[in-house]
Amino acid sequence: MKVIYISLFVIFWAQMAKSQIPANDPAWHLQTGSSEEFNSSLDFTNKWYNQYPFGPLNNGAEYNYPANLIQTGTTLKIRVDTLVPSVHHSPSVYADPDYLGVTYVYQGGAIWSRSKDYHFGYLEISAKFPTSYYPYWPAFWLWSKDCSAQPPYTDEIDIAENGAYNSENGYMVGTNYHLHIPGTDCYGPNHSTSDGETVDVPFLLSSGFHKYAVGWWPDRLIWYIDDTPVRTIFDPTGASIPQHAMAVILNFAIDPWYAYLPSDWNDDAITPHGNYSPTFLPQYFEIDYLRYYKLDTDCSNDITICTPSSDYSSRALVRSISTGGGCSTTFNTSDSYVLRATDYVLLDVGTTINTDGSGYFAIDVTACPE
Amino acid sequence: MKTRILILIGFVGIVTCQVFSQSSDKNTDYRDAYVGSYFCTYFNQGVDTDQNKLAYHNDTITLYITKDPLDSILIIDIDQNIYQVKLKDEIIRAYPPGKHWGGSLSNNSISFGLSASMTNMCKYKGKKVTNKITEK
Repeated sequence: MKVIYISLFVIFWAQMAKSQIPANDPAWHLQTGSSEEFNSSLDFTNKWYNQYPFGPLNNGAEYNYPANLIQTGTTLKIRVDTLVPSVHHSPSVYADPDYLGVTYVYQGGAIWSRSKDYHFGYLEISAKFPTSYYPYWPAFWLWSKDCSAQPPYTDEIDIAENGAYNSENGYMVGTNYHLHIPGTDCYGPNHSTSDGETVDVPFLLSSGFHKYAVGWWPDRLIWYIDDTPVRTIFDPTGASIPQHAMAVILNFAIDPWYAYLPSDWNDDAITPHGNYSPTFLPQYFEIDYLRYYKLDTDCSNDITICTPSSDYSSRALVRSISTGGGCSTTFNTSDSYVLRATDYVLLDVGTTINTDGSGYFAIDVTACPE
Repeated sequence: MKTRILILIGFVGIVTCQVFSQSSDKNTDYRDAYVGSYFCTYFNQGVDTDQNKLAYHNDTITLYITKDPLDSILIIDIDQNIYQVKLKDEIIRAYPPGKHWGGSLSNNSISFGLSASMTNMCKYKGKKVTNKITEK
């Protein structure tokens, strides 16, 4: 008996990575409550913070105000501009001595989800980035930290960001992810890893709207730009992949390492400043939509497929899938079918893959994202 | 006459040794002066999720500076996190460029700033305690 036993993800890897995205695979379900089309007023009471939940400051060189969140009716524009009058804040890590504080001469904005339930799945924005310039730091990212958890954790996925080196020519996007380093002080400065990579793109970021996304599974991260995979991190143990639910953030900051800043920022630990002057302000990071998709999961179920269903919603991730055997099972590539299982997929005798169309047939053996 | 020749040979020998000695000095690795262990205080600004605010922490830590064997890079080791830098006029510059760290290094003192992410920023200031990497 001829048995084709497939137990790993290696089959059709490149095709699978591309085919798995929601644009090509209706098995993904849009999570409307966690998505935003920006067609109506943002719900700042229940769904979003209109700045950072910890106040107007982060580690950027801008003071953040809700007024820099401009809702056009079809998009959200996050503005960065000069700040007049300036704001003085103390203490600051950027001042020496620290308690003297620093003067903020720029302003920016951020939305931060009140929900921290973004946990695996596919997150995508359609956005137009501002002019690429070293001090401009627009970003789309996920973040979560809990120092009281055992063990404590800090997870972050930077899906798409610009600024610093990534703004060198306007054709680059920054990707990154951070994980807690076991055994380090959760509040300390060196508690997380960093694995950044710059991706070259064939278009000028500020020229129009493009799609920036990440597919996040327990064993892998895949970054996509305009539906094309551009970076993959794979770890079957999951140890080097963020595992905790996170909040989603869209913000536009000023990078203190590159912007021209007042003299009270001139701490010699924060040198060299780029001293790029804010010639081109104001600038806007414009987002058309934020969409969050998830796959159905039924990870304790073993199924046998005799007649492939045309119902995409029934194509959940299960524990195992067997085809053929006592059946004559035919998959048509025109149906763009993905078999997803946590343990194995068995294509037994009697299984036919009919290349009758321009779609695909793919197999994905992956950990259960629940 | 023989004595004069011996004196001349000796003089030439001394001059030659001096030249080679100076030449040897010129080949000294400039990074050697910076290698060692530095005892530092640090000031950290990070997000405290328990209280939903920016929080500040002070403490002490030992940094280690070593040389990259294959390039003219200095390596700053903080809690086994590695930061590659180059020095120019005693200004620490991230290498390759574009990273979020830098500072200054002179007179056996270090000032080093580091943005780990949008939510975590730290600076270190301290003095060299030994030219050796004592322990990690």
